Amino acid sequence: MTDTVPPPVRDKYLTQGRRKRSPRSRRGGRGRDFPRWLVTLLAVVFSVLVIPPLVYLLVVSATIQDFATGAITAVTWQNYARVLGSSETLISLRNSFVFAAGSGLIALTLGGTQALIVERTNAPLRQIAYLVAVISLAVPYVLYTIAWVLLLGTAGPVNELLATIFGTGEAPVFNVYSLTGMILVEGFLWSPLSFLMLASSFRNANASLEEAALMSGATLRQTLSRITLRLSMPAILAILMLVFIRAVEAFEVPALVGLPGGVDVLTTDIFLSIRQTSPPDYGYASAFSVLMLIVVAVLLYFYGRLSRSAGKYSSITGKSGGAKLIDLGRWRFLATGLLVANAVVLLVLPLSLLVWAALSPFYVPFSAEAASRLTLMHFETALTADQYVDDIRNTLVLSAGAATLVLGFTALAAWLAVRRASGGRYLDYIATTPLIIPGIVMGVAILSLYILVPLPIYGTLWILLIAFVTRYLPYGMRYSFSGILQISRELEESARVSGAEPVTVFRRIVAPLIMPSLAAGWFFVFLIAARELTMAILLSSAGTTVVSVRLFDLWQNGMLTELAAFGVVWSAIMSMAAASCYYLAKRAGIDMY
Amino acid sequence: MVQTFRRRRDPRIRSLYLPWLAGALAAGLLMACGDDGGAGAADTEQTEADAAATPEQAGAADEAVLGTIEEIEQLEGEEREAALLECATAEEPLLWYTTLIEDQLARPLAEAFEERYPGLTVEISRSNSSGVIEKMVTEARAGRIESDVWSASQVQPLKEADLIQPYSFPTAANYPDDLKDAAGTWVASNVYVFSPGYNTQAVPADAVPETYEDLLDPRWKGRMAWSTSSTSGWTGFVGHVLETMGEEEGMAYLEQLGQQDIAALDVSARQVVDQVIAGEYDIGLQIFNHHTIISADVGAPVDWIPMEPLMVSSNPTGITKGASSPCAARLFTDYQLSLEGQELFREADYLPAHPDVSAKEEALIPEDTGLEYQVMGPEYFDEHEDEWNEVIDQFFR
Repeated sequence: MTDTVPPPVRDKYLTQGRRKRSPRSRRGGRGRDFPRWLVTLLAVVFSVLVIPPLVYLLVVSATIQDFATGAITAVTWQNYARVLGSSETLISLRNSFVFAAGSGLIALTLGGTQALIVERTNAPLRQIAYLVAVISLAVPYVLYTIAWVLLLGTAGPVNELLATIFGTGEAPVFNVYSLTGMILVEGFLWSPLSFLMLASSFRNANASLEEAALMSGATLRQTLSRITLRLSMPAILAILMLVFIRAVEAFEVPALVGLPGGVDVLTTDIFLSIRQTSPPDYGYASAFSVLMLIVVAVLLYFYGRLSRSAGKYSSITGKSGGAKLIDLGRWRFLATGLLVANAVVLLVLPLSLLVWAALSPFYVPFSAEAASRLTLMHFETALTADQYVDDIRNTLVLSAGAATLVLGFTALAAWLAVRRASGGRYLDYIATTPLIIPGIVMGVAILSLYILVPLPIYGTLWILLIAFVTRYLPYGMRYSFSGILQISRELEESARVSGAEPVTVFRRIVAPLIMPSLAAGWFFVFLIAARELTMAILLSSAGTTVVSVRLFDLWQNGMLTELAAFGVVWSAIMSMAAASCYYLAKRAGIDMY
Repeated sequence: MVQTFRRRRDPRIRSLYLPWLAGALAAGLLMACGDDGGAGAADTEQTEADAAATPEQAGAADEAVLGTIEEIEQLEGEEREAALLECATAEEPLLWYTTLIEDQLARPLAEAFEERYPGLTVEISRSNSSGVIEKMVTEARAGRIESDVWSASQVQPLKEADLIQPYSFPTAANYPDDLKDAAGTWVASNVYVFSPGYNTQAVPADAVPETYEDLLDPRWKGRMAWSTSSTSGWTGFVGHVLETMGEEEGMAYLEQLGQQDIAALDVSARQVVDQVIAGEYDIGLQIFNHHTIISADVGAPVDWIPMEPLMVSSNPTGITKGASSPCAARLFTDYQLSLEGQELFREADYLPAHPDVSAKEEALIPEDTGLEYQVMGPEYFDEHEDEWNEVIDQFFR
């Protein structure tokens, strides 16, 4: 099997379907041999998933509707005028940009430093960085954010420490409910992913150039800055951009950290216009969503250009020799110290705080007096209450279902697209379109659409499943594509020559060969779906609550201690799942990220 | 109860998706980590078994049920209760949209009801008042009535959307008139007294603000928080100030208060109290005074301030029009408002609406302590909400 090369870090499927044809695929016929019904079926499924929400979003944004019936009473630009005419929109836009840029830089700095230490130096114990990253990917962002609010809050341990250092004033030394606080927390949230992606880039870079530099008398610092970092520059910029885009779309931190401090961003503005307005202002929310869609689309356009221009570096990343590690000498212990510090800050502190909260009858900052009151009652509730069991079941069913459908659809679509079946380009194009749709926009679009359409799925898991599958199609495409690209066409051709039908070829030849990529993709989609909050919060109802929505509700309802217990239980389950799948993937030689 | 992909009202749909989903789920799990496949299959089997166990009472002829309810409503006392119980047993689990805090009261109340009427199940969905209304209205628009019983501090939006089923509320017959609606749309299950609360460790006894003027002290700048929910949040506070101080004086006061940088938290007033306990803020405005007592009882450093005039409001509850479990909804509402149900409010340190059930902590009720107070009815609130929100936009956003 030649399929052990990890998915490329530069994510070319973020380029909205614009792809250079590889010479090999041009050689084959125009795909007349592929069954038309399959292409048509996939095209219909994808179109039905992707197009109606977008179209309906545009319709709602440009009309006034009667709230009770949903009937359109007027066509108007009024919604856009309200959004664009408000000075608050500009402030939110500015906040979103500052927030996204800041958190991107923090995630890159933290992740990059770790990746460099882990993949390029001989620091001892450096594998702990992987453990930290994998576990933190299993924890819902909303739970992390809550833990960070408690840690960095006015009465939290960090401010207490700062107060003893800088002396106590009236105000807390560090105010987490600010743009700075938001940037810090969001940066922390994204640093594990940026580490994993950069690590794979560093790992695959050609180490002989570094060796040459060192042998020619360059110092370690010169080697790092002139060779290692420069070689990885495309990957670094791409990750910076990716975190930037994701932070523009982020909801958890803006809602839990930004709103109390009066810092509004695009996502919270949309959320509030539905949740804080009675009746929900779908027109305004939709117009705002369209604006946000345009912002993200523009960003993705530049991201695509960035990824493409990275191509000129690729001639030196192809050969991956056994990288020789840089000997840090005595400094290697400092490097390990940095990794441990990162583990403490990113994982140990927030999780300990959650455990503390889960054991307290009510939440107060840590003290010996409070420690005498500890109780297990919240864990008892978290483990026995029917609703929590239901939430966990809902989340698992939904995430597994979404991951299965996404990978199933995209494996076929990617195969048809790569092998240039007629219509394959359309499949690729439509399946990558949802990338421009932020989660909150997808939530608004699907909610307003299916409330109106006489399809009885509102209030069931189906509406969530539809939203999740649509949103994660691009991710599935990314994994499927990289799997298919690695398969030589000859294998399929010999099967065809021996008389196999195209579908049989896919089933017997292609599917087994790309299975490792699909499995990695399946688990990636499963993990992000299990954490998803933005769409779920708009689309779930009483019987279809998922874990992240429950955690958010518990926070709002003032049940922090029970929240912490339930969050700890869920994180333990997901960490074990994530760690074992990561281990299995590693053994099979697949990179999950 | 398995709630997964089920439409509440039509169990038949499950049979369409189950085999398919079972396959997808098992395949998916097998694909990711081979050794998890067994667990996945086991889970699905359980789901299927559960589906098979569900009685096939697809949408039980609605008209017949309504006929039955009309008949039952003619009955009285135990006969009526037995008839309701019989009818409720055949219904779906009851879904209760409530604003009551789950672990304090909603869950104990539901459990006591389930114990009293074995075989019946209550499912709770807790949100702030605006959340309850938003969900009910959205669901109605989607043509799906999910809730059976509701409680929310505002009733006007529900009336406008025609979502309230008028009811006689037999167990609330002797409730005072200002705690129920003459047209039978709602009855208050309990009374709320709003006041500021403070962290007793962060605020020394001699510094506790006693009057509304005291809240303007620069000392509290950035140290106060309130919720963005309607009655139990900034809207209620602003409305109360404008109502008690009068338009002119009230506006002048609010303008000054606007300089105090009050943190507006998008959470329930209960969570505001929790944040005050945790020391994030010194003072929480417009919180429920009984919440501080509940927390202080287990040792939390918090107390309420009897800042006169206090604001008193009620917590309306009622039955959803078109509820899928109409009998259970009536039985549950009767129970909630009965002596037995109201005792649970009392036990939880809430302020019962029943005239014969006193509050456990009598100091909480202004009527009993002679403190000055002003009642804010749900209708009055609904009438003025928009103007008050404009004032909030002006001074506090």
